[in-house]
Amino acid sequence: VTPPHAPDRREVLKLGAAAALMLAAPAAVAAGSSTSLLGGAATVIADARYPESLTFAEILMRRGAAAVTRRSDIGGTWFHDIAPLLPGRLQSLCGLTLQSDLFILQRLAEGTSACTAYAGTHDWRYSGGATHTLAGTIDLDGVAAALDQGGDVWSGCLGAALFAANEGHRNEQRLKLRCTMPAGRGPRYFVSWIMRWAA
Amino acid sequence: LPLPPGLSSPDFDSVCKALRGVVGDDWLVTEEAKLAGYDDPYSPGVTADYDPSGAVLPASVEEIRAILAIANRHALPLWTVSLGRNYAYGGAAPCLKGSMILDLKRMTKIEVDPELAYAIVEPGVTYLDLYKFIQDKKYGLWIDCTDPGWGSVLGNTLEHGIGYTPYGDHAGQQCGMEVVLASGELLRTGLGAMDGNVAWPVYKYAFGPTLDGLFMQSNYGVVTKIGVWLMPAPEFFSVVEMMVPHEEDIAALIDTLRPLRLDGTVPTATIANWMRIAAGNTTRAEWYNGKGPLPPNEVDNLMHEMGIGHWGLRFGLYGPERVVAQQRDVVENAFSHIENVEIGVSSYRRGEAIPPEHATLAGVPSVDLMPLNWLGGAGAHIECPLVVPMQGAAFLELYRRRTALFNAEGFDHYCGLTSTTPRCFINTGSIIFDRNDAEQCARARRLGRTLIEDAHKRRLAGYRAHISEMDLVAAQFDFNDHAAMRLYRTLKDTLDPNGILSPGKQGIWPKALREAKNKGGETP
Repeated sequence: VTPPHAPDRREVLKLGAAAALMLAAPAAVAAGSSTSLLGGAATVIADARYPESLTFAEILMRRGAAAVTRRSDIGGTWFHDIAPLLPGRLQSLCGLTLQSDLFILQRLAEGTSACTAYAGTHDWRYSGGATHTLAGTIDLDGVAAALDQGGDVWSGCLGAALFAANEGHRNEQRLKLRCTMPAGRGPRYFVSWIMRWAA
Repeated sequence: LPLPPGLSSPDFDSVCKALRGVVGDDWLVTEEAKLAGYDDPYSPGVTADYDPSGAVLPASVEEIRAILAIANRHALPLWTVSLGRNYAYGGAAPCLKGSMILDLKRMTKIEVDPELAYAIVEPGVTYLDLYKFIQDKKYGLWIDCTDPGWGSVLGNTLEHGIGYTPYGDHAGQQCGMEVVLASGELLRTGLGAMDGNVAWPVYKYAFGPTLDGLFMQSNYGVVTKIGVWLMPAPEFFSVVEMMVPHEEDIAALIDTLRPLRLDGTVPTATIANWMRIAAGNTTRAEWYNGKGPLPPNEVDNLMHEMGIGHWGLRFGLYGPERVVAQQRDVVENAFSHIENVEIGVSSYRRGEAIPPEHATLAGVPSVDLMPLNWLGGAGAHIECPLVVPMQGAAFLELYRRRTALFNAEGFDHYCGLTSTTPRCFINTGSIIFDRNDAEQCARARRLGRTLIEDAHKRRLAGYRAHISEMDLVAAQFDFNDHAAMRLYRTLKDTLDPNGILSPGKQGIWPKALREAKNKGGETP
């Protein structure tokens, strides 16, 4: 059965504009610093079913990350596109995906010395605004600020902020914030995440 | 971390030292962070009740035997897992808190006989591994796999798991077994009991009692090897898919299917309700943003927008092209009598690429868990799938009753029917919930228990259950005052007198723990 909600054309145009906006972001945000998690050999997984995931991936791609389109099953993406890069040719893997994809990838990555350096949930299933819950060893303040100001283009802002975020903490930090609810139909619940392998 | 029942901290340290001497430092896990991987990832809020004390990972039969000797000496409970991917039923987590996980994932040998079409696999072999092995060797064979295919072939077979090809009854396709008993003794079942018998993996029985079933869904031994029959790649393969619009159409669908399953025209079949189809492709938030189950008008809207019926039926037809064509005619003729049925057929010749949506019907494993996203949040599900006779009216009544029970706890009713044997269905009813939401976890647990109890009132039972419900389901098998359980216990006490193997598995507890319970102790 074909998924029913292909992205609306107006949404795509709006998200395209968001991508352009992210590209024009200040240099301090646009350029990953030397300690940025996504500054090295990074790959981003794009789930073509969801415009939010595509925008997130596009922003990172334009900053130098390699992009992989999610296959019909996330296991296929792992075995065909990710696992062959290990060990050595992949330092970071990230995405804005459904929760089950992260769940599966974490388990398939067991035994490859992977660690999840960051995971955030983005939830606006019910009325009353969006709730973002962020956790990780990266500096989360910039990520939170980007989400706070992101509005309808939050996924692009999130991608740019994660690219710029430094690996700042030995222990996991946690942060929860409520923002205005983005527009658009869809799952209204995503997970952004960064998995990391030692160089 | 919990200690094994009855062991002090120094005792446990001493056991761990001995185990390290067998497997090496790297293969005994006692660090809390690493042990988290053995927690039940779909636990409905009861993770801490089933924490293990550690995990030991042998690489060979000899190491298993040495571990069992240590466990017997110290009364160390071991919980055996092949890979621990028995998700929805507890994953790798033990029934008895503080058990040491006996993790067999390092045992990954595969042998395939392409002529007689069978494989012999160790516990650590996944469906993905076996598929790849056969593809790499270019054998003209298909496997049958679960969905998702990342689990152990041996583990799933022992749990009576199912797939979607004519070889979908996994226990039915098992032939030959190697087992280490609790005493450390190694045995082979069937013709394997004769050293070097070449017919071991091709004939299921032997001279004397058939033992294999004793080691499935049990705690009588550690299975280290099984034979699995494989399906010759068919010359031609058609996927028949059909939909019927109304809830009550299930009766006609089942009653039309039954004779075709009984006479072998249809070799296996799967039926899904609207929610199973919707959850496989979308999330609930795409349809509705209220709480509680989808109202009927929203379900109608969903079915209309997705272009689906209340029920979908799907099966494969396999064989020479002319034979499949005739089977297709028979099938289409039979089902076309159902009002408003829509039938579609896709066909593939041997070697042709099979698209992802038909992969499991061709034994091509994949790993995806889209239905977990139905509610959003940290998706999980628990199950107690019933075995139901293939009779339309009775199932419709059961379905309506179970829908009411799901809805009463605020859940949509996810319903699937899989027929791997011709007279019945395995009726899955996944309770999908957000494991990070304590209130949802509580409702999921309550619904799980209600479904199990309601089934028992109708004299139906689950064929598997979550670790937290194994005692409840086991107690429902009550013929002649639980005569079967008395025999299971007799076998347990005879084969495993120290009670070291998987205590509590399928409700079978060793004598010492049963006595502790009778005296009012907390365990089990």
